Amino acid sequence: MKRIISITVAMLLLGVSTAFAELSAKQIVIQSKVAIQGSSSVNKIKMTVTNKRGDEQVQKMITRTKTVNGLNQQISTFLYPDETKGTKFLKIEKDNQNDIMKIYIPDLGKPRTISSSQRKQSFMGSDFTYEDLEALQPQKGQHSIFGNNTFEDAPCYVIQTNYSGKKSAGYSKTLTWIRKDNYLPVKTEYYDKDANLIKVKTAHEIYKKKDVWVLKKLVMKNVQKNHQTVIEVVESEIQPVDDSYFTEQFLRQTDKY
Amino acid sequence: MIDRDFKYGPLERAFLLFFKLMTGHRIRVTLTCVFITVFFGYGLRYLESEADVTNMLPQGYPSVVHLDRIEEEFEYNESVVVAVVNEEPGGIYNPHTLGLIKQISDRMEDIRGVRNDQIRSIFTVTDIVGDEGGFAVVPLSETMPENAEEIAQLRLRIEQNTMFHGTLVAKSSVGAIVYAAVSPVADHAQIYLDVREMLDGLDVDQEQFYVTGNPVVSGVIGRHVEADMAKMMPLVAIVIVLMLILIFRNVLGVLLPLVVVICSVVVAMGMQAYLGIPIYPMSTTVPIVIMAIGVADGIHIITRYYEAARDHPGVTGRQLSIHVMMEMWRPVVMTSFTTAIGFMSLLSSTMKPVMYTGIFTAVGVLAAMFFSLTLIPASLAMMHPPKTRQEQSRWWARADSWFSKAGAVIYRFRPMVIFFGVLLVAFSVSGGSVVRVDSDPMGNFNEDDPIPISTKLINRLFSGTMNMNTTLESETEKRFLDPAVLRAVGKYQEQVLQIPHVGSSDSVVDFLMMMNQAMYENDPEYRTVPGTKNLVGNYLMLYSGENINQYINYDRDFINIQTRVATTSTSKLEKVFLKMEQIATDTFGEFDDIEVQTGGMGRVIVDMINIIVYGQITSIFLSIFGVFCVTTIMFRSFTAGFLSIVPITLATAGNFGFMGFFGIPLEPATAVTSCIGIGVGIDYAIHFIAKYQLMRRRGIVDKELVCCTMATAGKAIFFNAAVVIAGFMVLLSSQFPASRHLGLMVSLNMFISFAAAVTILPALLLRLNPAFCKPKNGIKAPLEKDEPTLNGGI
Repeated sequence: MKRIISITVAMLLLGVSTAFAELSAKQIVIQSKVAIQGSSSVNKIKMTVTNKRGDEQVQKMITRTKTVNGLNQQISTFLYPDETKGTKFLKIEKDNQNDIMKIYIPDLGKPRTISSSQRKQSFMGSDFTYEDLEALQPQKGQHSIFGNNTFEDAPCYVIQTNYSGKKSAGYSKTLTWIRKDNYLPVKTEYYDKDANLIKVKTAHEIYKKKDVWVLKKLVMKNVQKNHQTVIEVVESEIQPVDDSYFTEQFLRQTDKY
Repeated sequence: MIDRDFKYGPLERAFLLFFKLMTGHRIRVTLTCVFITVFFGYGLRYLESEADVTNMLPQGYPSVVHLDRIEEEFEYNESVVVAVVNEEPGGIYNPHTLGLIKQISDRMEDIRGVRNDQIRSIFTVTDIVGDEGGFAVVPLSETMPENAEEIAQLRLRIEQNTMFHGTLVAKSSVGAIVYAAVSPVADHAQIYLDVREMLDGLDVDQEQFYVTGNPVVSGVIGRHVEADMAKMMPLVAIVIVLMLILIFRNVLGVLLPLVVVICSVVVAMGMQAYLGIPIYPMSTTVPIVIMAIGVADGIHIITRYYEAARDHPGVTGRQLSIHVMMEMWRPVVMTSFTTAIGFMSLLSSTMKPVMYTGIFTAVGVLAAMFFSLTLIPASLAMMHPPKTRQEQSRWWARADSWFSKAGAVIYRFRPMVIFFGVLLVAFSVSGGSVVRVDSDPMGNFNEDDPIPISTKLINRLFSGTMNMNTTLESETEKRFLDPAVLRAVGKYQEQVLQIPHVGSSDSVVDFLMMMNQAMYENDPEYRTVPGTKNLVGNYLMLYSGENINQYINYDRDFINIQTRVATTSTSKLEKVFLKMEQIATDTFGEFDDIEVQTGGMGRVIVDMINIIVYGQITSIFLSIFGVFCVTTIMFRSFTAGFLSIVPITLATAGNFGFMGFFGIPLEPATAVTSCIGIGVGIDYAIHFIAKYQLMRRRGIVDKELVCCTMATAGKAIFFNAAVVIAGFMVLLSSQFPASRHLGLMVSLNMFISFAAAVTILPALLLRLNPAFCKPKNGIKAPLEKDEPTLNGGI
């Protein structure tokens, strides 16, 4: 079972679960996965990639997302820069099989499938891989409680996850800070196969809005390349999203976002 | 008293006072010299070597600025190149060899100084694949192929991709390459050693490893420089000691000149270290030149000391010391200054290694002068005047008679001597006209060194180890999303690939063409530049593999076309980039708003060699002119100035003729020969002319004049030249073929200078009978043993 925190969901307005007194590492991961499942929403997102010289590359998109039977669906339409305006990206999470990822470039005329083998690759030239945008998976890797710590003053569990084998995204382990109050993963450190820190992902501007937790900003820093990507929710609205958005027909409709 | 104050002019009186001080406070003077040497010697520990060519060119030099820009904008770094070669049938396509390539790619990451994110091999690069309905940008082969079928699959993917085939894997399949970019500030020689050590630890079957790359080459040369210095210095000292023993046959004659040159070398090198100036491959010659030249002052002073001791028995050590120094300060000061001027002419170069070689050789020569004028008189004053031993005076007498006889022969054949001079000039002109400028960093290694072997092999099997970069820049953001411009880039690359020695040419266009093909069901017909700006923009956004940032910047207004060239010869590289520039002008001429620049490491190296060589030619003329001026002023005669430069001009011309005839290219090491030759060779002419002038003014004429000059100045010049030539011959044992070349060429140059000074000069002097040599007012100058003379009357 795969739960995905997509680029949108990562910044979503989130429901909080009840905290348990004493939990195992795996239970915490499960709680965390539940915590970041969002409601249906429409978000305007800005993604800024900054290289070590300080040059910036900005992309803006509008993303609709919904969760059906615990599986996430997401459609993003690029608004900026001009040359990618109208390009659409569809991702449908599948249970027990590879997710469907499709891209539609207006000038190409028809949607193309993005191979699932690309999951470990960078997402749209950013410091996130497609996989980094997902939550910790209870059944993937060996989880253990590394300790307790705080992140931006909030008490957190620190979960260590060790990976082995081919499907490790190139990481040997990750350390994830999960807030004790709302189970949101607020910080993740990624280590390469030589146990050197490669990247650090942090969540910022987390607040409660109408009883749901809002996470506005996600930062990924590649400490080895001195490179960073910031994903920001510029506007967010919780509203029902029709199933028709997550279809090939909608992908092909260049005039609709 | 043998020094009569009333005979001296103001300058002489000042020097007399100076030498009285030096000899009076002899212990303090000696201790001060020791202190100075220890002070500078302490600095030697800070001495560093530098072989990175980009640090040698002057700051702000266009090709360096361009390379810096490329490095900064595209996070581009020069790479260490490791080739794995398996000559068995099937080449690298077997589990064992592939396993080794994988292990090397993985372990390169552990090597300090290697940029982990910039390792390129078939196990790190991304491939763009397309099939019906979909595409992916995925690693070419992240894990080891496990069976024959997977290996065949991998081979097919490699051979279909022009960015891998011929670049990462040899077209013949016998070898594969791992490129690892290294940080510019890392210790590149250590990286080379670490890579070698890592390779030694691998389990080899049929495979051979080859390691090279620009950083490795310069790093290892840097290491060799240090090793070479450590080896040469004592060798030069030993050779000088041997020569001094041969000439003087006593302790004092050996020790004093030796101490002077050692102190001078320490002062020059220590000063260089304190000033934070590194030693370059070229400046290894500095201590050797200082030793070879600095010893001359000592030789002349000691020779005169023994003669004076013989002529003035019964005087005190201090008196004798002052007497000798009063005769010798003038030639010592003058030859030191002319030599220093010769080396200072290297300051006209904009290349740091050349400039510093000039400056610190000059410093060393002047330091030798300083110690000769302080430490030597102080030491001599501490001695009891020697009682001339029978044996020694017999040796001197014999030497005098040989040189006198040689003078007679020269006198007899003087028309022929001039004829030979003319022949030499003709030879030089015809040979010199075919001298070509060429340098090869590989020339710094012996042929059997693994680095040139690796470089040759990699240049033969793969696309090459030398990089050229063509950059296109526009003021307009997103200019390079324009398919028309990108098509021109593709066309440019195609034409560049036709240039001899060019192995590969990569740019963002290659990625875009592959993306386009993948997007159209892998249809080869779509291996073209995408048709619209929006497609280009989308592909660039989607392309998430290997650092495309090395080829295009974020604003899409600056692109980098990387060309690999399979040669290290600068003359060939120069031809390649001239051709590249021409193709660029033809191809991009229509785009007014795009600035095209061809550069890269290959260009920097070519520029460096050209600057050195052409700068050197300028400084040859400058130093000859400088020396002409100094000698003209010194002798107060243009004829004398002209005559002084005859031997050095002949020697310089002879050098070029020799290089032309024997096909030795003009490169930094050979170009510096002439400047050393001029700096040193001028002394011979000055000594000879001064002595000739003195003898002639004393009324000696014709054959006797030549014989006398030969027996005195000729003899000293011979000793001097013998020591210098022997000193430079030490370079023949250098690790650097270029240094060995230099040793041979300087020796040849010295020999011509010496031979011309003792043959052509007397022949010309006799023929011209110049006014500056004639007795003043028709009165013959008195014959007086202890008259202060220009040449000290050796």
